[in-house]
Amino acid sequence: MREGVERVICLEELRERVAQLEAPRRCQDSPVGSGCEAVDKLLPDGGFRRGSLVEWLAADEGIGASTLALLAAREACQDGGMLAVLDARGEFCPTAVVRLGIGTEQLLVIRPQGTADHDWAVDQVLHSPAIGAALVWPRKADVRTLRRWQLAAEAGGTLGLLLRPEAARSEPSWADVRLLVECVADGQGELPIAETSLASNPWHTDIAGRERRFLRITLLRCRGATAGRCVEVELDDETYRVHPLEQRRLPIAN
Amino acid sequence: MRRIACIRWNNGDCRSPTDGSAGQADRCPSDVRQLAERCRKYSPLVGWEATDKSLLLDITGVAHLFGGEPALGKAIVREMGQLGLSVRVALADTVGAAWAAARYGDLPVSTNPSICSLQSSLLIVSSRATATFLSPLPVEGLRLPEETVRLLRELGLRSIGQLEEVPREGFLSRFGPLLLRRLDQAFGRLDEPVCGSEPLPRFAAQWIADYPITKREMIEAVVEHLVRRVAAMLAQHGRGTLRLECRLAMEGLNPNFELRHLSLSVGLFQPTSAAGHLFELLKLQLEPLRIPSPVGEVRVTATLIAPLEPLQQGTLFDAHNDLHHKKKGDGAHLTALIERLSSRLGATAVVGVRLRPEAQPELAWHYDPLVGNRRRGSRMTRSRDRGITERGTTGKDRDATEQVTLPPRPLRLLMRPRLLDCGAGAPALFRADAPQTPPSRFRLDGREYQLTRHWGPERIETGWWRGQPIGRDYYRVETVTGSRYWLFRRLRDGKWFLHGVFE
Repeated sequence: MREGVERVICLEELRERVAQLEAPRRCQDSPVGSGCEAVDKLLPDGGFRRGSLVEWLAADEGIGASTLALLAAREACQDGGMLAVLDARGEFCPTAVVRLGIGTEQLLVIRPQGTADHDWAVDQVLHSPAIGAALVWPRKADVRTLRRWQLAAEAGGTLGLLLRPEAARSEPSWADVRLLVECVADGQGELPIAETSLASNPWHTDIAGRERRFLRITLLRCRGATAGRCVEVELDDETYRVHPLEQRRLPIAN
Repeated sequence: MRRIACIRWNNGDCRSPTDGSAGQADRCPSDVRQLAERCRKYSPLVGWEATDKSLLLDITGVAHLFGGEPALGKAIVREMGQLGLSVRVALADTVGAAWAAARYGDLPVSTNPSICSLQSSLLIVSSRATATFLSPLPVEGLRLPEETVRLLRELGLRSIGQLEEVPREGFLSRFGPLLLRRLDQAFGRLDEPVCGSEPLPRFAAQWIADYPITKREMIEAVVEHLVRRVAAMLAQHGRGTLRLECRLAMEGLNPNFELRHLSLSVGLFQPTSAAGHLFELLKLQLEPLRIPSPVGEVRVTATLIAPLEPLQQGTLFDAHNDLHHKKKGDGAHLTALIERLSSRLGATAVVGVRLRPEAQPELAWHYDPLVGNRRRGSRMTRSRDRGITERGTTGKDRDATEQVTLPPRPLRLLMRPRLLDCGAGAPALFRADAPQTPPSRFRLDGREYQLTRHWGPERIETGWWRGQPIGRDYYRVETVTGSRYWLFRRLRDGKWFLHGVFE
């Protein structure tokens, strides 16, 4: 009995020490809001830590994961920091970012050609105190590269936002937070095409054709928080506001 | 007998070396002083005419060094052509005659082969034929104010020859001393010197090896030494460089082999004379470089210079502050980052964004390189500083305005729209003038996409003035899996294309 108690105490002490060793060098700054109150509530600090990496895994392309990441980037750049966009694909559209509320004078677009240059550029950007947030679509990032980026982000106090497909879920990561974004049914059923056709004013839609997305954001990994919790939110593509639908606990998926 | 060469830019005046105001920037050199420097190889005395910044070269006694006046003139035309400048070069006995020949030499009245030879961009007025050449030219050829020219024309005096025939006494009281002075200068009765421009200081350093070196460490040490010398020269004149070039000349290569030298070029966001920083940027390019043969000569030149901008010094305690407490968007950090990135990735890979009032989505913005630009750097940091200090007022208001006026655009925009295979999902009836619905499904890369919702159309018809008119009906569509795409129907033939992804 006594041995069992000692073992529990010993394990608890070891767990604390491991947690201390694993914990990143924490900055004194207040956390950066994710742009979505419901997601902030999932996180132990009430937001993302500056100087950390956040991975956004998208279940499919075009479901709004990058838009959610940009909302967080907007929050991170509120104090005048630059938003660095690593556009290796050459398909980044700045108009979309300006429409979201980030001025062109805060935008720095970097278009590296090869993988080596891309990884080096991400490292440099994360390491710079002038950058508030960096938006990166890594093609293939090994553990060593991610670790290097994590250390660079810590040194520069930059929020690194990595946009990856869900296939990267099984890969190890040095990200502080890993989130999975999925699309969920809106509960109204599929609207027939004819009902949503709006010819007069194409981008100010009425209630019937309102451009809302219903997304489930699952916390796959976060230091100091329980993995597997998720929130369902409504993302308004007109105003870029995110409203929570409900919060529930799902079984740990990863 | 003196001989003067005048170089005049076609289609416009040259921009002033100090104010940079008038002129067509695409046709004229941005800085006439730098161009005057290039022309010093043709003449020890180079200046420019104040009215239109035409370059004036005193070529007395130097033409034979270039194989005669025609060869000299052609060499000048060729060199300007290599710089992308279209010029007219005229050679004559006086400054006034050379200028008039460059400006009005192509008029039919002046193309008498006995007094001048006209070869496309080069016009040579024969020596001692100045009076005969000038006589039929219009009075504007005397570099007179517009008011004087207008008055002369009202009096019926249209050519320079007519002025010579009229008694001179009345000119002084009616027009002032300038008219007579210009007249006498043009005909050589009054001397008009070429006012030479002060030579620009050269910010360059060179090292020639007694024995060519092969070790990379030694080459780097030489480059560092030369960069320090150039930086010291810049600092002494209160200037900084925006572009630094380093040239390594190779020894032992076949003269017919193209690679006789390696050139490195570093562009900067803001002018600097910090030797350590400049060398660090050069080293970023030097490190991955394979040096194929021994280096016999190294030359470092600051090719683009600008006055140093005053920098606010940091406080004593800055060094002890944690990085996380430093102000985000710090100009010095940003400058260092941009310069490092540009040095390795190239100037065109590190860019700022400028939105353009253009309806065609792929042309709605422009990427501006941030380094090696005389104005961009300071303008960007100033506007950013304003944005930081006035956040919540003007900066945010402007952003809000931009935000409201911009139509929705996908974050990922394909530079080349992809033709979609709609198969049986395509609308059966196609009429360019009638609103249509998107296809119910399409195939791309072997995958089928089933659409459930759409918003639109947003019709864009533009580009006719570019000779490439486009007419498109854009739709934002959603698939059964919740993915959103940006499709358009080409009005010309009704074909459907994928243009973007709302990621």
